[in-house]
Amino acid sequence: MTANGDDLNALRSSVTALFQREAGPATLRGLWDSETGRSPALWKGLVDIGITEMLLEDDVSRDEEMYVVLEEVGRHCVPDALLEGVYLAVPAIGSSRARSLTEPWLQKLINGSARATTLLSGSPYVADAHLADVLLVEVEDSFHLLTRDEFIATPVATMDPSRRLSKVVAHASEATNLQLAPDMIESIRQRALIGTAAMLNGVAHTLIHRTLDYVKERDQFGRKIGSFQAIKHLLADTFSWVTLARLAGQAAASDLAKDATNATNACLAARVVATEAEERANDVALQCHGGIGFTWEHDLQMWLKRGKALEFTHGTPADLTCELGARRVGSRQQ
Amino acid sequence: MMDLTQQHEEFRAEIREWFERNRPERALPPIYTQDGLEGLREWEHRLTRAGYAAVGWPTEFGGMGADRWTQMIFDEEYFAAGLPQRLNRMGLTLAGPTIIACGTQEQKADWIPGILSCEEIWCQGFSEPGAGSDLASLTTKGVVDGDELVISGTKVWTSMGPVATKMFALVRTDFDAPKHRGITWIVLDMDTPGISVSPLVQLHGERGFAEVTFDEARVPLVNVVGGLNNGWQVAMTTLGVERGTGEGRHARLSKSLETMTSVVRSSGLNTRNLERLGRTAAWSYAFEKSVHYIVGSMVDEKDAFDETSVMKLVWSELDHQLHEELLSVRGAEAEILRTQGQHGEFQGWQRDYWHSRASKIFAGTNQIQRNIIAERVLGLPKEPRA
Repeated sequence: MTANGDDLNALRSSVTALFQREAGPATLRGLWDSETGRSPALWKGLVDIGITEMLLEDDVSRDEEMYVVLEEVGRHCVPDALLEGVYLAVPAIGSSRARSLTEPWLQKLINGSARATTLLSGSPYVADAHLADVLLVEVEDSFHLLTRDEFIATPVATMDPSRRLSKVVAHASEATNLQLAPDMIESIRQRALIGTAAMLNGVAHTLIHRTLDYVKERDQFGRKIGSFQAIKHLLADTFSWVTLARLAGQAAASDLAKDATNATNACLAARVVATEAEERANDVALQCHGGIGFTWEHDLQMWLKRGKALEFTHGTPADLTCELGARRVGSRQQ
Repeated sequence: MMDLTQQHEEFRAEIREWFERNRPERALPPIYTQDGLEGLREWEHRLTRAGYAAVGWPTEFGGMGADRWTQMIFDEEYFAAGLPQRLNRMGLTLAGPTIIACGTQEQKADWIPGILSCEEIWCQGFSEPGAGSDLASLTTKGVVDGDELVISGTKVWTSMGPVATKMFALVRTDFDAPKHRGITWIVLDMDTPGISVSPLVQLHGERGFAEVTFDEARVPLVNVVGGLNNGWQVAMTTLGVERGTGEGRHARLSKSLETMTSVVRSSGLNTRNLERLGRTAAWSYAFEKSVHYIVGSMVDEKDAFDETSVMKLVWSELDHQLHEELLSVRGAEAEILRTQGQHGEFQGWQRDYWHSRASKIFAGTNQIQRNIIAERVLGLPKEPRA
């Protein structure tokens, strides 16, 4: 039932190659001041790799595949809202029985000529709503599909210059209800958790590895600073927690793909540990870089800011740990 | 990822049922009481007769020759059932595997059967008052005299010391060689003249710890395993034996999480406690899935990562954090001892709390583990050495 490891590695390689080509730090900086903040070449590359199409197929491995893609998004600090725009939206719209609503959009979403995004209950802002043609919006345990003239997106400024968030006012009605099955609604929530975890784990990975590279080069007191225990112990700890979080993320994606009964708990757990591990990596990365990391010129800021933003996206650490605790107390066998 | 076969699931059902039918009828008294020792011995005999005493050992040595998934399932079910700590654990996890890997035919024939039958209870003589984290600086001396090694010195923090009948020890047999090279791994009888054992009480009141002194104790040279002055290498071969399954550490963590869950359920359904529980549950999940990943990669002979130190570090930190949170949930009740053993030792989660503090010290302190991770896994430059 689990995805073939070789297929996942091949997917990771093609996504990585695309991101290295189209989303290097200099390219991303160049997009900060552009109107949309998004690269058409990057988007076309993703569609060509097939990430929109693979999500439409009711394929058991799609959650594991998307885990890999989103982890790479975090590692490369890719700005596009692939979680809300693709991972949450495409399978939901594809599964809807309200054909008259979805028919005009489905093919365009697959071939990349239209973009979607998603507004979940409790989220005050929506990622990439400024260029979305359709909005998937959660309203009291149902999901609606709204077109451009049925929602108003007002952009807000963000700490991370790559992220584009908007305040959204949506006009849902009975006519816009996608009539999603309850298990698809549950899946959307699970995917928001595991998708965010994947990106956090990717961000943490890069923060750790860039820092390792730096402390192996930087000399102070006549030694590489990485030879001091004060530095070693910070990095050894953080690496260990990040490793655990990554393995938890992969396992939860696999639980989700297998439709395991405990998938919600697994996704919550993976999200909680990803947030905590990234938070440590974020702290340690800047601390070990010292003053050089605290400059606008240094690329470290991209991952520092993305990490901080993701920590509070689709649920705060306090709310999510509390929810997981309540679920454990609620049933004797978890 | 874990995709267990039908066979593995059948073994889980089999062992679960067997534990249910054969477990000791009552909670056993501590190991250092006559009753406790006899009760544990009887339990070990049941395991041995059923063939379950050492599931991972090769069949020729009385094991089941089971793969790592099966070993892990055994450990998971053992801890889930709340069964007693294994009487001969130092023999099962360290002495036995080392002798199987490095011993001669005679040594294997002489010592291995006694480990499974618990005819001999084993302890480890590695740490010394002056050699803790810096184990290789040990100074217990072994001088070759004819066909004997004459041993003098002190070993300390010896688990099972007061009840053990055999010890495997590291002694320095060449004081001129570089410190890792002059060490010998040797087996000795605890009733050898010249050996004296002083029991130590641990800080949570438990007995079972000892200081062992050697005053020209004469041990046959044939008891040396792996050759004179080759002891460091021999000791290192066993470090990898418990790789992956880690004696069911993830199952013990899950068991502690269950305790915490019921404490929160019965005494503290407020937001802070739910957050504490959720956080602990999340990391417990991550640890369990990491164990599964590592065992899986070992079974499939795929490269994972050099995980031994990472897993020791995170497990002991999580174990401590969990029990720290548990104390916080109890609040002012935390310090009240409602039950105590006959010698005043702590029991239940209060014993486990203090034991979790020991976890960060034994088997290589967590500071040493961080050094190992930094240098061997992350490739950071070595500390300049004096």
